[in-house]
Amino acid sequence: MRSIILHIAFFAALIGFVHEAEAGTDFQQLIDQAEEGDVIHLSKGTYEGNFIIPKGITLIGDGNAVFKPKNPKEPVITVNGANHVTIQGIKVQTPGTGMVIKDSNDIKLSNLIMNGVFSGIDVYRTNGIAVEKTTIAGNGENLGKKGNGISFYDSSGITAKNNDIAHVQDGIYLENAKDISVLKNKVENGRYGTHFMYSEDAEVRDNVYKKNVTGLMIMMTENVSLSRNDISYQDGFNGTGITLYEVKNIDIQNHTISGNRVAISVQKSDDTNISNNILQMNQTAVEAIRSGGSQVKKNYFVGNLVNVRSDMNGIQLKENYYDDYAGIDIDDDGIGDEPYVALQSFGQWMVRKPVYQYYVEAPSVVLLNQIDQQTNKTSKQLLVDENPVTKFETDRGIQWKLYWPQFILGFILTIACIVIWRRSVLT
Amino acid sequence: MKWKTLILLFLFSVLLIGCSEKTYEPREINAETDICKVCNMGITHEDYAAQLVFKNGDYEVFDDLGCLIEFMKDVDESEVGAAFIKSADGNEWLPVEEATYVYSKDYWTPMNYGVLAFSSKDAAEQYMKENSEGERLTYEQLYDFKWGIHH
Amino acid sequence: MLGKLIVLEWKQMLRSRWLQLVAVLFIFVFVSIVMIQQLALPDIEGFTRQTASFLNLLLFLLPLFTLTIGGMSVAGDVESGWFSLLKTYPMKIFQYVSGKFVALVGSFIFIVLLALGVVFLLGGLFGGVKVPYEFLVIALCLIFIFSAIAILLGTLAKNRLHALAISLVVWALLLLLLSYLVMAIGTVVPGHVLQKLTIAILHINPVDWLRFGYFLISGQTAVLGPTYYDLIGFYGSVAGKAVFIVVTILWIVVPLFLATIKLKKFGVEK
Repeated sequence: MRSIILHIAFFAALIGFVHEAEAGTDFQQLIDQAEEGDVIHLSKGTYEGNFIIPKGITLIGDGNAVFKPKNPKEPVITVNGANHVTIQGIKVQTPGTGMVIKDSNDIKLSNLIMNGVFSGIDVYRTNGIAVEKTTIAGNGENLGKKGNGISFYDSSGITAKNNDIAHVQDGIYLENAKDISVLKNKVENGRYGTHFMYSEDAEVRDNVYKKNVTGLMIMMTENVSLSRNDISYQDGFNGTGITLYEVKNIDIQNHTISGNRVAISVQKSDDTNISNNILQMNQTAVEAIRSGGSQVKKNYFVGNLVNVRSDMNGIQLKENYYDDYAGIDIDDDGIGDEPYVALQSFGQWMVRKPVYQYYVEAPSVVLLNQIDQQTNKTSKQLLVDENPVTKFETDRGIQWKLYWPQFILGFILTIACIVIWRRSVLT
Repeated sequence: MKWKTLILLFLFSVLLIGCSEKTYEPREINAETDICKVCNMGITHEDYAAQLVFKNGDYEVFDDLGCLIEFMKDVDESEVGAAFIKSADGNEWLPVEEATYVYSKDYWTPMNYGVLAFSSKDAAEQYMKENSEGERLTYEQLYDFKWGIHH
Repeated sequence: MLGKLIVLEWKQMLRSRWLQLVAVLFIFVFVSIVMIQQLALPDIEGFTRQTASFLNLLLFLLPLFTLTIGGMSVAGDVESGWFSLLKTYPMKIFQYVSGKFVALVGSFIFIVLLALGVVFLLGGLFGGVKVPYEFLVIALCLIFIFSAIAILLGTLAKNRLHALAISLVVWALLLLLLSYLVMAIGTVVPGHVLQKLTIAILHINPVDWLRFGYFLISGQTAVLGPTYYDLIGFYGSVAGKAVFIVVTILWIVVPLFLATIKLKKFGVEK
């Protein structure tokens, strides 16, 4: 162990001076005196001020160094025009913005903790920026009075990984950004989990989005691969798991999307590819508006109220599994012998007039859907899957497993009722 | 008999509600539930919001002027009662035909289209003095304007 | 006197073949829905196919059974002369009505309890099932409101068959036809008119009312969509909750009151 520390110290000494900063010292002065490549260790304590880092230095805190602003309207730490800056292991407490990175290159931020902030980290015009293992919790204000967790404007070479963000407007916001990796983050109780605007070339993988207005909002953006994200409970008035608006070349694969108002909403996007996802227990699984060319292939629709709804343009359905498919598979090739028609009059009405949503899965609508199932078989224009898959491997079978309290309660209740009944009837 | 009169009264009142709206008033934006009809974004920045009132009394709301124009391009004009845009200072709803528009790539709007509306030329001049200079647009020009990012 | 009447009615109710059949049917459907949905679908909270079908089961079956059984029972009393006989006793008509009501409510609560017992019994074998309390509240409200309406319908009918016919018409009207009517009107009127119409219907149709009640109690009102934000906001407030309880009670009291008046004033149609 000691040798490792020695090695680090030796290594640090090679690239520059290692400073020890203590609370109460003029920290800005320390920064100003530091040379390119210096490492500053921050000990426990409170550092108050609005600090500006104009050069490539490394700040390392042990997790107990707390930064507070002198002027809360300004960011606590600003990195401006610097190359190779690393900041890790510090806490930032401010009602305003935690950190701003401007016009810089190769910035690494990790293990930061920010609580009650308006916005966490704003990045402008920066090349090569990584934010990892950072926790950001916003203030308790209404959505309009919140900033974003981490925002990237006009930047490229972006990595956001293993961050935990809650109660902000947009968890991770990207505008006019390029070459983006969003991995293993968790965003809860915000407006949009991750929000792309005018961006391109991104990978979004293994993230968790829960209880936001929209999990993934992707607008006017190109070349994004979404995979293995866990998107659930976006069930507010306008909740959606994933919303695409005017996008090109987006792949949505291997997701589990559960309990949302709408799981995936595709709008004005003609070449989206949605495949191998499990869409379960959503009020509406797929909604398509002016996106007739997009493709929904090999997905599993389980327990949704409405599987697919669209405007007149429809959406391409291929080889999906639908749990309400009523056809049979005589030749046992795993493909149903007759097409599946996802079209429901009611679903289409809901797209046109939101007022109809009141009747979602009302008794009358349930019956209407049953009738639709029969009559729509003849109209094979819209939302038809010619080759519905009939097999779905679930690990949830019915298993014997005794749960004593409920069993006994049920037993007593049943016996008591039967006894009462017999006595009432016979005497 | 009583039932019949009641039903008639009810239908009559529905008809009245349907027919009585001749002037079109902008409605309030509800930041909790209103989303843009075109792009689906929540309207959390009310100062940039726009709205359209149909002759039948229905409303559509938009988060950005560009979305409103996009919607107006496709809508049947005979059904439109009025359209409004929030002035850049966020104080009032302006009928879209009467507002003064200024575009600059440095102005932020929710969709980053960068076009702001003002109640008068003076207000626009004032804003440009305080912020950066922009390009004046007429209402008709909005329909040929290339809505998109202009960085 | 009232106590004896209730016991008598209760026994008659449980002896009725019709009710026994209904009980078996209800338990069968109840149990199969719970078993299939709860054990086969993933465990996700909120308004899902699972909760929706559970709610619809209650909304479909309980009014159907209470209306037909209650209506026919009252009409049968009149038809068979039992009611005329009862009138010779020193008993007020309101006592007859309330006795009928209590017996009817009692037997249906009994059926629900029995169904619940069987579900727990079977569910206990498969690792336990969840029956959220909101459903029990709604089931109780359904039984109370529709028993009252059933008695009113029974007094309006000429005979048992007539009572059955009236009950079925009312059931279809409340469950299906009213909604279809509103939806059809919605295709021609503007959205805001449809919204107002829907809210009006919500208050005059007990099925819609209790469905709305389910969303209120379970906190899933967002399902109804943003157009009903103000309505939901009102019923979320204390005043709104009070109004909700008052309206629900009115739905029970008013039909019983009307039934009493009908029997008192106009006697029995022969």
